Amino acid sequence: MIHYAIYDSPGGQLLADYTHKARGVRISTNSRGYADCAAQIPLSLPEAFIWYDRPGLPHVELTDNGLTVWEGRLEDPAIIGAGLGAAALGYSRALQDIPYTALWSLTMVDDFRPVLATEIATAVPDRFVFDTQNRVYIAQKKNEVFGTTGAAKQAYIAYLAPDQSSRTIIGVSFDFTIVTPAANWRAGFIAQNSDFSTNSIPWLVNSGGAGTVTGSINTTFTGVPIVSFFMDLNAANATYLGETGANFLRITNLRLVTSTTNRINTTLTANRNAGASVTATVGSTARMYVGQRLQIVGGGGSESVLVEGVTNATQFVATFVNNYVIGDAVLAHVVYADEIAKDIVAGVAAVNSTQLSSNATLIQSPGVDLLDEVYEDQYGADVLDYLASRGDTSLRRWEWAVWDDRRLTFQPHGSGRTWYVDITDLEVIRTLENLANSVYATYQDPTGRILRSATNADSFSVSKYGLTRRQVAPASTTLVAQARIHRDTILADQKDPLPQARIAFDAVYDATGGKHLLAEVRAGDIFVIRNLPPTLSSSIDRIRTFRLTRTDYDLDTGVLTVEPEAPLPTLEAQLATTIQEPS
Amino acid sequence: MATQANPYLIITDGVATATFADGAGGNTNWGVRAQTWAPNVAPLRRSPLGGRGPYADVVEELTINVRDSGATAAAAMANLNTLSLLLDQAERWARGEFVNAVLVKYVPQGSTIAANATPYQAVVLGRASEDMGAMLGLPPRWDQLGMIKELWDVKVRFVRTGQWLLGDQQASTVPSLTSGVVTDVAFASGLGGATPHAPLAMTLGTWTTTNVATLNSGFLMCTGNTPGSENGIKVSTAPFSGLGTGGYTNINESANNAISGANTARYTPTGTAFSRCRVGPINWTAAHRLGIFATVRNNDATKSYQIRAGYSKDTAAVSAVRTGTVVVDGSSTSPQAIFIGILTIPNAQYGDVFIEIAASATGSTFDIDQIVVVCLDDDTSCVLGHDGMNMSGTFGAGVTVFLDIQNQILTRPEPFVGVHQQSVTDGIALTYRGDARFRTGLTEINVLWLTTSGAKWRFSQGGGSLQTVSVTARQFNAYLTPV
Repeated sequence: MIHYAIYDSPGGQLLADYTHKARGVRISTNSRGYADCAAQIPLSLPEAFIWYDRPGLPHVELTDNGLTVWEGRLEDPAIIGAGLGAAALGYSRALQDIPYTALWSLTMVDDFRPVLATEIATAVPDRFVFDTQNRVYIAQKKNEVFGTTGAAKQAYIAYLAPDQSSRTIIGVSFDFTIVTPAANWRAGFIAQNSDFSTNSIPWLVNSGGAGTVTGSINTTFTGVPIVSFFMDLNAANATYLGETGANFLRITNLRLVTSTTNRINTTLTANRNAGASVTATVGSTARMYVGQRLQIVGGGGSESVLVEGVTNATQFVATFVNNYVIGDAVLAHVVYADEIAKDIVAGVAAVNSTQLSSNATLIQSPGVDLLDEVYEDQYGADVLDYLASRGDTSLRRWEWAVWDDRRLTFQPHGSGRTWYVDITDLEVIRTLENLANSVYATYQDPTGRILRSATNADSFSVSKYGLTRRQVAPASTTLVAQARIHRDTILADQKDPLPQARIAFDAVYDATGGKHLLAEVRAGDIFVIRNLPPTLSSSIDRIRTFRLTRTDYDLDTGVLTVEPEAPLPTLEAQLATTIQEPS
Repeated sequence: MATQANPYLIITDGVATATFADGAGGNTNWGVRAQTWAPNVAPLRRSPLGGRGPYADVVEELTINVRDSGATAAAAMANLNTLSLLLDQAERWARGEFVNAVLVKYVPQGSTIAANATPYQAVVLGRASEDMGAMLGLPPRWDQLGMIKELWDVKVRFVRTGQWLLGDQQASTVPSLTSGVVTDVAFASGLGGATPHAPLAMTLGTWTTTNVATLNSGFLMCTGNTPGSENGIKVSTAPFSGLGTGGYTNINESANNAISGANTARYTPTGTAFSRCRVGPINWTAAHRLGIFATVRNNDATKSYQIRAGYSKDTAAVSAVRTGTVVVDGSSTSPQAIFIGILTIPNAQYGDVFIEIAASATGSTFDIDQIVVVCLDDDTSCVLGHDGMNMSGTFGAGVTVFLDIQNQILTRPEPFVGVHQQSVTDGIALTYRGDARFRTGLTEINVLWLTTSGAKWRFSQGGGSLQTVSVTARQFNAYLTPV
């Protein structure tokens, strides 16, 4: 039978065993894990006030012969007439305790801005022109004096990571074009400390004379909060007599990252001459995807290419401008959602170690490269909601929750257990409210302008329902390939209408027919109705099988209420089932 | 036992007593009026919460005449006061105040198993509901009390616990329990067979804090049974029958008191996907809901392992039912007892239990000494998880102690789980998880204590040898209707 007890902390000392006197006990789960547990515990007023005033955050746990039925923190103790009203909330709440500020990846350039002379003494931004229109651009102004006589006269255009970001910039990739009027003009990329002092110079080009230099860079460096592109004349003072814009530094396809965990760092294992849509052979194509931009760096030049296809574990298809040989580097920065989830967990656990386990075993990777992830003062729960919505390359939505031992799970949608029920009552409405059989994604160019992907439609759904219902899928990315994944995930999920349903049943069974305790049913689990007429069309599949978004178990009466993904719109109808379980 | 000649019915806290019927047919100062009372019969509770046991509390209502042998009105009022104080105390006890429990004791006329000295007992819990209803209803003829020195037709209404517990607890001891091994404890003939889910208490011990300084966390399991019938707890030990594939091998852990005396199973991951190991067959004929426990060791503090169990009739586990997944992190690299999950099998079948393990990374190993399967089909099966205790630090060295699980069913609202110093009344409470009010329904119980000691797979002395303890089970005979 189920045991109800309060401990001083998770895994801590038993404070009270209220199994014998807890009344009105209701436990619920939702898409974030254990949701809430309400109980009334008859106590004398002094004893009830002990809970009200007690320092610390007690842990409420319900177990049944080793099985954790529910656990959470006694967040809202209340003095009620008969004693203590013990309202506990699940440990997903821990992800709403600490705001999260971090930069993970950035491809948009609209936040770059010129560095002022008050920030770097040698900066003379008024002698250059800058712009961030789909590029980071620096050009000398005509008739301005440049050089080192007296003092250096330099241009810096910088990106500053969010203030107090928990992560620093450690990687960059970009394509560059440098057009110089003479020798000793320099262009570079500088990693800077928070006071704009130079930490390192990962990339520097010193011109040997007038001309144009192009290439592609992918490099890593010691973490810094500020990065800048710069330009100067490293020689005695001279007046620039060229036209403004005739010479410049232009950066495109920029990406800044704060993680190199999943960075692609492989080499060509066969020579690769220039060609359109040709196959390149590398050590590994792990983490490559169609539409991804790779940096190819060899002794004879460098460029970035877009992956047109991933043939197998060692070959991909792209268009090459230059010739490359065995051993030339194939690089790309990649950031996955599981890295962010793990970092959020680590951050919360570092501050509130009893509230969330730092163990990341149950955090899986969706394998989708995230290009523009900057969070400022957002709670971890909201960030995880967003990350889960991004889906994966199999076009599945994802979910997160905090279950046993305060461990975060981050996994594909529908990873819960499957229960089989025989319904005794059914009410179902087929509504087109949530139907989306045609979807396009919105994404951004590097300046933040909204772009729209091609529309993808499910022709079968359009034909079947006699209607095209189009939906937009907003994606925070500058890469159309990633926007398409988000678009197609939405389409796969919503091409069939989600029925609103209310069902009643008597018991839950597993796949082999074994009857289980109602307390084992959780949000995120799958219900399969076994006794619907088998002759119905496949359109009933979303009635026959549906996912639970909430469970509510009344331990006083043994009644379990479950809520399907789309409950009927009235309060009464949301009570998907009521059944009684003997002791 | 002799036949009870007359009914006996009292409520008492051990100090004050209100006698409704004295068992001898005599007049009493709280005499129950004829044909005004019959004991209510407790039903099973709907709630799966442990409560005070599986049966609902019941309301008793009776009508009595309060007097004092007709002596004085003041004495009659004093007796009424005694009764009202007892009922008030009962409610205070129920809400946790530190007062004596108030018991209702009963022997029906004609009973051959109960007597005044060994009556049926239940705990009075106070008023019938949280409303304003009184426990004592005084009649309108209250104004005549001063003249007739008696108060007739006083209505008494209270709640009591549902089961009638007969007499004292009956004890049975088995002297040689070692952890990880199922021990059967049979009760004396004539006891238990008629006890529907009777309260059970248990002690395990003794040992000295010199021999065993630290108690590790573990599980104490108990299932009701009948001698000669199939056991409610089954143990599988290495070498498991499916070893040799999927990264599983055997290693000799005899020096660490492996349950088999020799081998434990070792999983050496070659990847991070789940790898299955067949543990062995289930050959139960009646059990359906099975709790799966194990003693395991994560040999790397930097790696985590996911473990789950399953049941399948085919060796490839094509059609299998699985538990949820638990994580064994690297916080301990010593043997530890864990709960894996619950399996439900639909019919009495013969199939295989298997385990599946996934590593967070390769480069280390994970060991399993024994898999314990406990049938959890009803409330006669109980599993109590307990935390550890530094016994030497708590009690000092050289102290003889024992593990104590007391239901305190007739004395305190809540059970007690702790470690006792021998011959000392109060023990030191131990943090636990699970319903500590064990129950037994049959004439035998199966007991298994799953715990470890330091580097040892089983409860062991600091010197390395296994620590043997005795197990004493104490059981009330319990009834829903008096016999």
